Amino acid sequence: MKASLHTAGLAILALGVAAVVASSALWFAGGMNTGWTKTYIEITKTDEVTGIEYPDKVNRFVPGVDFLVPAIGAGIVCIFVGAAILRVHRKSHAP
Amino acid sequence: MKFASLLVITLASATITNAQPVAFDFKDPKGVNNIVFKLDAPLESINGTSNGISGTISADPAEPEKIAGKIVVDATTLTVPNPLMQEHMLGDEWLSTKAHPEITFEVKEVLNPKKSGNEGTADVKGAFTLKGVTKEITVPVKVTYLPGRLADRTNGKQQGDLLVVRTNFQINRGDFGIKQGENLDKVSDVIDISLSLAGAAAK
Repeated sequence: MKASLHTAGLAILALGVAAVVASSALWFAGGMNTGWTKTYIEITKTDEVTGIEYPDKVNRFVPGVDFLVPAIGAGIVCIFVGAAILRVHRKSHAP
Repeated sequence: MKFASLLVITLASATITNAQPVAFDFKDPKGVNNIVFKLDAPLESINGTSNGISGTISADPAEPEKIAGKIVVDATTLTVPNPLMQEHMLGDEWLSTKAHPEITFEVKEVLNPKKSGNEGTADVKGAFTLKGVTKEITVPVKVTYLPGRLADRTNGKQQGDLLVVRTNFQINRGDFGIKQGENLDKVSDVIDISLSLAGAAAK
């Protein structure tokens, strides 16, 4: 039981660290978008005959601050919860 | 020689006088016709597009002030890049597209027409309908007439003319019952709208 508490604490801590690292990495890779998350981007093209400029949509996930902030927040909560569990476990094993 | 010149002028005048308006269909299978809308917002401006455009404009290149017709935008085709924002925009509180699936502009009157070669400008007064509310607005329009260019867009399958229409104008969402006086700290009342359309008249 005590060993599984230690394992759970470690797992939650690791999950929190992974969430912070992965979401930050995804946000950096997406061009550090400080706006809203987008599921497509638009490339402006020009019709040769009419000269009309039109947006051509390309599916691409671009994480924004509405993705980054909750993901980092959830990660930090996991880190604190995992650390608290490990602390309780350590105290219960103290000589 | 004088008689010949007079005949040419008379025939030309008769042709212009009797010229029939040509109906240009704005349903574009190439998906180039587009509307772009923009609203200011604190984090970043909200930019959306649609190419669900249809409608017919009857125009006589010889008499640009005699334009009639209606442009229809399928409101359900309006898109913004954020899926949650998209859901809210089309939902009952904002555009309510299930109840009001069309945004329309019907031409009523053409003011201040100016023509230069195949291009013309005018202020077009018309009935703009959004979310079931109709208001009369006047928009500046630039028109380019491209005779015989339809074949270039259809790889020679169809002969005919093209009419390119461009306009930029603003409306206030509150005037059309879209959260009047609400959420002004999140989304501006003013909506910038740009339309770039090509209509085809097959011969």
